[in-house]
Amino acid sequence: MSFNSQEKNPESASSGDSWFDDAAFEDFFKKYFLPVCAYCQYKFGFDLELAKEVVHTGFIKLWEVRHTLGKHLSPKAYLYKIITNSSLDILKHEKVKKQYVQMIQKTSTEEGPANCFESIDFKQLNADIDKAISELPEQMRRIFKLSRFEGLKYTEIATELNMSVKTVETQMGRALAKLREKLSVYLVLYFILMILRVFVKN
Amino acid sequence: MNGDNRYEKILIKYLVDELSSEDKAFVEEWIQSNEQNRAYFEELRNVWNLTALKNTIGKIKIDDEWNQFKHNILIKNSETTHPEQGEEKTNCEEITKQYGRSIRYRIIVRIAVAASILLLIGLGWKFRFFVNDKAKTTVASSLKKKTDSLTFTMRHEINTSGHDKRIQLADGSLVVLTNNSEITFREPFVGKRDIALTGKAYFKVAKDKTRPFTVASGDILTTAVGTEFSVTAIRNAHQIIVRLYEGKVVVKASDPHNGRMKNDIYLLPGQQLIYGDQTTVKVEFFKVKIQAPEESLDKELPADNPAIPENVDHPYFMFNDQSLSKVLDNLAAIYNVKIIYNKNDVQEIYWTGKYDRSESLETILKRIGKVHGLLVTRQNNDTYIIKSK
Repeated sequence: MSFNSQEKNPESASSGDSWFDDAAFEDFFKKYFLPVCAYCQYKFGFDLELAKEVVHTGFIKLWEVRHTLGKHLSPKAYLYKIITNSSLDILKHEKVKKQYVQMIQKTSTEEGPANCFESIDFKQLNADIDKAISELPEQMRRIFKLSRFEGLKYTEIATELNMSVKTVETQMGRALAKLREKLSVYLVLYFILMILRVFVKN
Repeated sequence: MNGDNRYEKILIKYLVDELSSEDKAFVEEWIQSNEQNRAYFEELRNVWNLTALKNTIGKIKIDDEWNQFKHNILIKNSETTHPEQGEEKTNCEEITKQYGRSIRYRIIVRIAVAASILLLIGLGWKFRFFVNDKAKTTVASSLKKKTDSLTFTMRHEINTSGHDKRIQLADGSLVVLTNNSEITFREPFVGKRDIALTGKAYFKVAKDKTRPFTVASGDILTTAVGTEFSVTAIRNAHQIIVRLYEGKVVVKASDPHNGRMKNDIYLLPGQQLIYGDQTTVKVEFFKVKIQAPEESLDKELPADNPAIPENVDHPYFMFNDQSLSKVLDNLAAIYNVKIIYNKNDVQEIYWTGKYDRSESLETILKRIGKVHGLLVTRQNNDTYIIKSK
């Protein structure tokens, strides 16, 4: 259960808490912060700000229990657990989405922590998403970007680009379909990792 | 997405949050209705959510996040080591301030739950047929609105100007930040005044017993209520020095598990605490070679009302190791006279004494003068002049 793969202080590990020294925690934090944020965004659909808040809160909790964390639970598993729970709490308090939460809750307990983002090269992912979007036809791309990254409403996009809301709807549908094709590597990768996890567990 | 185009548009609208509550409920029903629908929706959702990751790597600076985390911990620890102030104040504003932005959200959520439960009980008496769901969301949203109106801003001051920098805080306190030092804090101050410091700074704290003033630096916390002190916590110097010029401060370890400082340490004016890199925590008196930047501070601050000792109604009053300038100011207030002195003449002097109210001011001043080699002259009925001999 060490934060350091190399077991910095093997002899003091028996005393209970030295394995979790500040340097080890810093390494752990820096290694997992980004993947866990990505997990929050991907799994729960949070924007980056909210994801960061949730993840910071998770790390604070982990810090607090670092001396008492039982041997049966790894810090990583604990971190994902807190973050998943607080994310579900947040979703629950968004109106109406209750059933949807139950659904996510069901899948996340079945599958365990979906921590495959640790194995992803984020620079590559970023470049691939950029490329996929840039390959969309111009109008479709503009519509998609305004919706996804500027957070504009359909009516606002329609006004801005001087078109009907119907067109925006249609173009958004086509954009997502195209992106799904182009980014299928990641979507399939995610899927495969899930399956593997379930498989390994059984 | 084969052939299901009928639903594609509305599902995407669901993802981008374009739907009314009724339509959302409809979509959720549809998603739940069978496994195939669910899989179809999840595919769309995964694409949508995946594209959100486009900027994640660019926008996360891991060192900044680590610093933010360390700051959160410092603030959190300064919280848990003052249980005497923490417990009874459990309203939203207090907690939101103390725990910082990230925790704030969760606390709000918790309070929202608590409040909605309370309200449900309350409503239960009046409207027995009220639907739970509606009550819950209304309360939660109104409560959220209320807490949102309280906006905190994080102030981060870094001084690389090469000379001291004066920073006026919202509560009237003044910070003199030396070169290559930085402080971080959240304004406005509600319930507490927590400052995180790296480097060296001098603090003149505005009196406010309800909001303790705490400086977190490395392993230690220095808390004061109305006082003047400095903290030196230079990065990589492995040593933290807390100097008290006036008033009272208590120094604690920010981590309750810290074995080197099990007990809280109270400093007297003129004392300094040195928290070394070995196992030593040393308290000693310091010689003031370089005086606290007091004069310059006084220019910046609106003149304080002379602090009249709290026991002003008692037949006696006393000074406990206070700086002589403070003693003289207090005496002037108690006897309602003017005492004129030069700050340079009295700056390294601390005074302890207990006096009966019936004693004449002249006697008291002469006694102080005799000990410290100061010449006391009475100019007229209500003006005294003090000079060094």
